[in-house]
Amino acid sequence: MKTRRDLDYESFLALASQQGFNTDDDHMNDLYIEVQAMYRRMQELDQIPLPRTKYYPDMKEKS
Amino acid sequence: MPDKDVFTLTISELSHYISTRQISPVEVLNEYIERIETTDPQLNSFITKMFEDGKRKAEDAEKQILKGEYKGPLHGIPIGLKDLFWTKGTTTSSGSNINKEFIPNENSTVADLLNIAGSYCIGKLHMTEFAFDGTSLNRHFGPARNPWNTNHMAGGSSSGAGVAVASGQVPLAIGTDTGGSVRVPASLCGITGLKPTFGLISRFGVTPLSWSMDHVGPLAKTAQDTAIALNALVQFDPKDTDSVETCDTDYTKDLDREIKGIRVGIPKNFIWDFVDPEVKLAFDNAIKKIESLGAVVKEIINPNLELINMAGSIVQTSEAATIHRSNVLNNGDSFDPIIRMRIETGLFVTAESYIKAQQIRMDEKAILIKQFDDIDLIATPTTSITAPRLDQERIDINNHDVHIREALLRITRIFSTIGLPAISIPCGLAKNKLPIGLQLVAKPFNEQMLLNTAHCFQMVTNWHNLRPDLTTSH
Repeated sequence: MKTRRDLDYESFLALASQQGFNTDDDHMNDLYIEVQAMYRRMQELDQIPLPRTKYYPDMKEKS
Repeated sequence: MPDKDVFTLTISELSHYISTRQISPVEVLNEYIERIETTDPQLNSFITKMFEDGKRKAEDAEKQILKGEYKGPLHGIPIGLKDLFWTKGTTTSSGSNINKEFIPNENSTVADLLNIAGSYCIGKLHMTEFAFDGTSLNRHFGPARNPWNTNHMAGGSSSGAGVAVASGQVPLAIGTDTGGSVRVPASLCGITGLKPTFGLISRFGVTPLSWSMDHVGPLAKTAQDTAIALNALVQFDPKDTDSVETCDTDYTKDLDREIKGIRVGIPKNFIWDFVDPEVKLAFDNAIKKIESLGAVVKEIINPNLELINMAGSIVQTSEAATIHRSNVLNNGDSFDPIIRMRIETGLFVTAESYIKAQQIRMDEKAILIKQFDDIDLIATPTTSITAPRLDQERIDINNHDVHIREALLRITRIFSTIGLPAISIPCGLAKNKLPIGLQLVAKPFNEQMLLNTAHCFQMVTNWHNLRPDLTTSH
């Protein structure tokens, strides 16, 4: 399974710009650190198989 | 007339004196106004005072009671609302600079329901900005201070609600809880706070933080008072799309019922990764007390508690970013920098990660509810630590360097994320005289069992009767 890659600073700025941020703002470096932490959480979620209960219909990929 | 100061009385005591006309609602209000005027310069728990409006409502209540039209235990009782509950004609800041001048043109359902029960709001209470913080810090309004030691945090985000009840400024306050914001201030301030099942209390007219995780909950001195509040607040509301229709329940009924045989599960993992030893000791003693009442205590394992928190964090941040996107991008400097960045981070969560986090929430909820086949309640400390100093950012717990916000919210957030009802009750004092909270959790819509167990615990302990001494300077 391909995993989500870490977010490098240039990609972060591109995403931020697209979202409407002023990328020259002083706090962008601090925000980058926070967003990286969020990305790590998203990467961890990527690894979780679902569903583990019968709560949802089985949607496993067909091989 | 009561033989104790009015501000020390519980709602059940006050309502006895009011209904038997030993004290009038106007006299009650005057006592509370004096208490607020005396103590709030130290505590900073009110953002807006509504005394003139309160006086009119107290006079109305007095006339009704004199005419024999007594409505029940909240009639003539003044209360406080966290400053994100809309109150028609009165500013509702949500703890922010952005909404500092916002005056709603209608009431929240909660404000209306409390008015129907005969209660009335005398002030809008301090909170952290847009309810997005577990401390009691607020850049725009200053910090709310813990009445047990004013150099310490009161917990958040319903910080003013915790402070106002603990210091006797109001006998009841209503807060909201998205990650622990009712239970954390209840724990840090030594009072009782209930986060009910998701959907049980309407959120119409409540400034949202995260629509799939926001809960409304009462804070009071005792479980009995909390039950009285719940009776007034639980009502299906078509104006809140997540509102749940339940059968009529009297939450004050059977509070005294024996808890013999109730099965209490204590999570073996995650919770204890870092807990202050004094908190652990108070928790162990509380469990022994519950066991002495006939409860059966057993250890349980849920390997995914950390995962639940991770999913909750992604959902909450993402929904908060959706709500505040425009303000944070256009008026970012109006926010506290920490809150601003927390909201902005949510703008980088992908749709697929948000959906996955929602799936995990439902999956884990199903797994945890299944655990309730073998237990009736889960017990944990409410917070890993007692109230931190106002200037404190990190804490060492058993050689773990932990951020204050993580130490405050990591246990409560689990149960907000999956929407189970949870109550925090006082269960001890640390050596520095700061309160410690016990959290009890039940399966959905089992608030009665929570309140019953909490009440029985409070019948054999004295922690809920302890009051901070505000004459001591810290």
